[in-house]
Amino acid sequence: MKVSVATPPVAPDEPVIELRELTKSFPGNPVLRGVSLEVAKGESFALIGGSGTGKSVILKCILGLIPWDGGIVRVNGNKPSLSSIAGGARIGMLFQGGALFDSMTVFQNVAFQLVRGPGRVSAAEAREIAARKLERVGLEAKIMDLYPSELSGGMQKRAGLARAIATDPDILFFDEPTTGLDPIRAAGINRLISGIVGESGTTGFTITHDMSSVRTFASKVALLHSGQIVWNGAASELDTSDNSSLRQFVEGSARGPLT
Amino acid sequence: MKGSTELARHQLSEPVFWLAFPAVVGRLAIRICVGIGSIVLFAIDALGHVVRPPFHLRELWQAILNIGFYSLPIVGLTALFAGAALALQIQAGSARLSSETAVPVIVAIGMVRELGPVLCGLIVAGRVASSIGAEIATMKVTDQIDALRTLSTHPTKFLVVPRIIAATVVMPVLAGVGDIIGILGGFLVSTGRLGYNPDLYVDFTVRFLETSDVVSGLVKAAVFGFIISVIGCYFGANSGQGAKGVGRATTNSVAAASVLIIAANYAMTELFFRS
Ligand SMILES: Nc1ncnc2c1ncn2[C@@H]1O[C@H](COP(=O)(O)OP(=O)(O)O)[C@@H](O)[C@H]1O
Ligand SMILES: [Mg+2]
Repeated sequence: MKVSVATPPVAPDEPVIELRELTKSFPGNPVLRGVSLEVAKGESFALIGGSGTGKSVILKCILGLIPWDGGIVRVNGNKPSLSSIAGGARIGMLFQGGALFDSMTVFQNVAFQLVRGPGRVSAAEAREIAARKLERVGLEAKIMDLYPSELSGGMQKRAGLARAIATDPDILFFDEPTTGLDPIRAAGINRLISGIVGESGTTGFTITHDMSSVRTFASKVALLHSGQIVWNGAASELDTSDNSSLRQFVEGSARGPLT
Repeated sequence: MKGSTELARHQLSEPVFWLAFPAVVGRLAIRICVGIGSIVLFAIDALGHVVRPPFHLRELWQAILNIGFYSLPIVGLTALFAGAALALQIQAGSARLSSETAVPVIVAIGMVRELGPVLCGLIVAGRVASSIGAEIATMKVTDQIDALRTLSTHPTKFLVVPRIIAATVVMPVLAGVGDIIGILGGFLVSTGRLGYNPDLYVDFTVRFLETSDVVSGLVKAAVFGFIISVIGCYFGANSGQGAKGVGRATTNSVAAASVLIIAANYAMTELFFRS
C-alpha cells in the first residue's frame, strides 16, 4: 500500500516546468502573448531576451507571485499561486540584486529556511550547513556574522546563491545572475551556477541577456521577443541556427528583426 | 478647425474652472474612502494571521525593542515638558477661579486621559510608522518580500503580525510611563515654582485620579499602537517603485497615522465621555 504524498511523483518524461499559451498584460501593455515552453528534469534552461521583454514576468508567473491572464502554468504538474509558490515544489531563487534581508546577518540569511518550518535543524547544525554552502559559493565562513551591507555586490550575490541552495532544492531560479557584475566576477558566478545546476539532478531556470552565461551553463535556450518565444533549441544549436532573431541577439547587432 | 477648438476652449474655460473645484474635492473624498477601505481590508487580513501559526517570536521580540524600548527616551522627555507646561497653564487659569486643587487634579487627569496617550501616539507615529513604512517599502523594491515567499515564509506573518502585536502591546506601557513622567513634570513645576506643598500635591493627585481615567488612557494608547503599525505596514506594502516609492511610503505613513490617531482619539473620548 502506498501512502499519498503532497506532491505526486513526476513521471520521468513529464516536464518539471510547463507553460502553455501563457498570456499576461498590464494596463495598456500586453507583455506576454502566448508563451509556451517546457523544461525537463535536470536541464539547465536559459530564457534570453532584451530588457523589458517580460522575462521577469514569466518567472513571477512560474513562481506564482503574480496572477496571469490566460494559458497554463505547471510546476511538477501543479499550478503555482501565492499560497503555493512554484506549485509547492522545493525551489531556490537567486534574485537580481541578491535580495538578502538587510536586517539579518549573512548566517541568518543563509540559514533562513534551515531554522524554520517543518524540516528545521538545530542552530549548530544550521551553522555547519551555512558554512558549507558559503564555501560552496566561494565565500569564507568567517563572513557569516557580517551584515549584507558590509559585503560587496558580488559577495552579496554569492551569499544570495548560498541561501538559495541551503536546503538543496530541486529547482533553482536565477534572475539575471550576472547583471551588475564585472566580467571576471560574472564568469565566477556563471561557473558556480554551471556546477550547482549539474549536481544531483537539480533543474535550473535562468533568465538573462548575457550570452556568456548562456554559453557557460545552459543546455536549452529560448529567445523571448514581443511576448512570444521566437526561437528555442539546444545550446549547441546557438551558432548553427539560421533563425534571424537568434542571430541578431547572439551577435548583438542593432539591426534586425528584434527592435 | 483650429479656430473652432480655440472657441471651444474659450467657452469651456470658465465653467470648467468652477466645476473643477467640486470635482477635485469629490475625487479626493472618493480616494480617501477607497484608501480607508483598503486599509481596513489589510488590517482584517493581518488580524486573521495573528491567530494562525507559525508565530515568529524572534521578530516579535525585535519589534517590541524597536517600537517600545527605543521610544522610551523621546516619550519620557516629551511627557516631562508637557506635564510641566500643563501645570503652568492650569495655574494661570485656576488663579482666576481661586481653586487650590485644580493644578494637581487637572494635570493628572489631563495627562492620563488625554496628553499621555495622544502625545505618545504622535511621537511613536513619527518615529515608528515612518520606519515601518520605509523598511517594508525598501524590502518590497529590493525583492526581499518575494524572497520571503520563495523561502516558504508568509510576508504578512513575518513582517506585519509581529509589528502589530508589538505596537498594540507596547503603546499602553509607553503611555503609562509617559503619564507618570508627565505628572512628575507637573509636580516639579508646581512644587518648585508655584509653591505647592509636595505632600498635598501627591495626595490630591492620588485621591482624585480614578481607575477608569487610567484605563481609558491605556485603551486609547493600545488603539493608537494598532493604527500606527497597520498604517506603516500598509503604506510600506503598497509602495511604488524605487527610492521615490520608499520616500512616499515613509511620509504617507506618518501623515495618515497622525491624522487617524487624532480622529480616533476624538471618537474614543466621545465614547468614554458618555459612559
Ligand atoms: N508590476 C508591474 N506593473 C506594471 N507593469 C509591469 C509590472 N511588472 C512588469 N511590468 C512591465 O512588463 C514589462 C516586462 O518587464 P520585465 O519582465 O521586468 O522585463 P525583463 O525582460 O527585463 O525582465 C515591462 O514593460 C514592465 O514595465
Ligand atoms: Mg528582469
